[in-house]
Amino acid sequence: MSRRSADWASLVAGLLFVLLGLAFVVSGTTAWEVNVLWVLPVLAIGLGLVGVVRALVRSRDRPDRRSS
Amino acid sequence: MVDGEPRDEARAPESAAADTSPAAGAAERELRRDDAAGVITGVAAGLGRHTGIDPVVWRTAFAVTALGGGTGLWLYAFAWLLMRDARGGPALLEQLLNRRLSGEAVLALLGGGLALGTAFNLIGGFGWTTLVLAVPLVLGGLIAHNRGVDLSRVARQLPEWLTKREPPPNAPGSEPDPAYYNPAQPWAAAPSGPIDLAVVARQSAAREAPDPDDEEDEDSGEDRERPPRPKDRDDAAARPSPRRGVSLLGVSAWIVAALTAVVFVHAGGVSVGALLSPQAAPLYLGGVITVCGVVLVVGTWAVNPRGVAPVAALVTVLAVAATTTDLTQLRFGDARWRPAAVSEVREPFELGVGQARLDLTALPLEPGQEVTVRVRVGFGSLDVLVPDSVRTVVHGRAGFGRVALADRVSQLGVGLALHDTLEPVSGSGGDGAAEEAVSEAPTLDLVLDSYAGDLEVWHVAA
Repeated sequence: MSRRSADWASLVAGLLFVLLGLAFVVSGTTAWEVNVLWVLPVLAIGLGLVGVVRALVRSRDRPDRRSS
Repeated sequence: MVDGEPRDEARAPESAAADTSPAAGAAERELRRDDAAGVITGVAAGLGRHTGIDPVVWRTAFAVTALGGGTGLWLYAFAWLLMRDARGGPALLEQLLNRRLSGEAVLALLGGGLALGTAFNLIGGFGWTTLVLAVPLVLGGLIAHNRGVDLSRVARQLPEWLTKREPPPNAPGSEPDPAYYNPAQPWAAAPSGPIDLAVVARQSAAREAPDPDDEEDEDSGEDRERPPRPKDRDDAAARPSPRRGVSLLGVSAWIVAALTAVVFVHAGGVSVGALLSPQAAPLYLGGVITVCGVVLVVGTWAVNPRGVAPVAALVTVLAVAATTTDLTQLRFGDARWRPAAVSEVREPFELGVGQARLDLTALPLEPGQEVTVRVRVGFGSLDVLVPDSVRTVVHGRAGFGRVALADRVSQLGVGLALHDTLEPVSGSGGDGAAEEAVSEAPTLDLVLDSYAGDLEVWHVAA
């Protein structure tokens, strides 16, 4: 694995999918049930957040490099 | 849609003049998604750029063929999986299959997919959805033939293209910002801390030297830290870069494959139900989603996890569908229902994709009896035949398509909702006995539902 600068959007997406995946796993193994009506909105909002984070990181990096 | 010719003579001269850079030329030679000109994912824009056909035509083709049992939707998803990204990185399927797919092969696969969808549609009989699929297929074939593509040769070569063990292209590394290096201030890009002026002087001398041989310099530790020059970037592009993203995706694919094997062993056999039944889907698909999430978290600092997030999103949608509907009970193709007892209509009639026909003329109904019949066809057409001696209350709903009630009402469009009643025909004589027969006629409540398709209710003689 090659090292590279941190991709914070990937972190947000990863946490989103870990939470969603664990919610499904827990609902499949326990009596607690995941309310699927919430899953798709959470997915949409989460992916939107990923896009926002990606845009913020890019916009932050560009001026920093130019000003240095 | 089988168009194996990259843009050449048919290319619009103005666009050719607009994009003369090497990168733009490579983008045209390769079949890549075009994020900049795209509307959703850049698939249609990329296809348009590669084939020289306006992207609007491609978008229209995807939308029109989506009416034929959703064919356009899965063709679009298929194209997204097959096409390289805007920077020329390998397509997701290229990574998974670990082999290179040429633009011609991708176009041939899309054409083959449309031909396959048309063939499947013909299984249920010839209908308007067949025309919706066949017309773009024939037009695409004619256009390709007109451009000199030998379709029979493409069909013969496709297996060879798919089995060729040529590795996929490397993912391009991130382009350094040109502003990073300032020749007038070479130390400006250095990290904070003391600056070794000897190193700066050596770097400046190396940059000003006309000697193109950079191999010797690579051995010195200082040179590894120096910012890249434009020439260095060219050299880096010429050298094979490490395959970023492939290994991580491969590891996650192996984990998912192992998880699938465990599920099959636990279920005692290989079946779709073991993975996608409402009981198994939360565990299996939840596990897959979690694996994708962990891969993305690891990818924050390690290898670029490109392509994992869309896959995880698709699996999440699939998990939602699997927990709300029993996907293993979905039916595809042609369905003919002719219930002969009221007990047979208590459960809803369901068809996932295809053509269905519900004949209620054999249903025995007593005067004054009220029976509810529910029919759900995901994508396709539905014809309901009801006897004209019964009152039929229709509640039809279609996300997209057409809803028709005998010869009286017909709606075409998006978000259709039809609530109407078909009065019995046999009692329309006007005398007292006939009016009594009408008032005591049995009632059929028809609840029809479809995502996209054609819903029709017909009165037939009892």
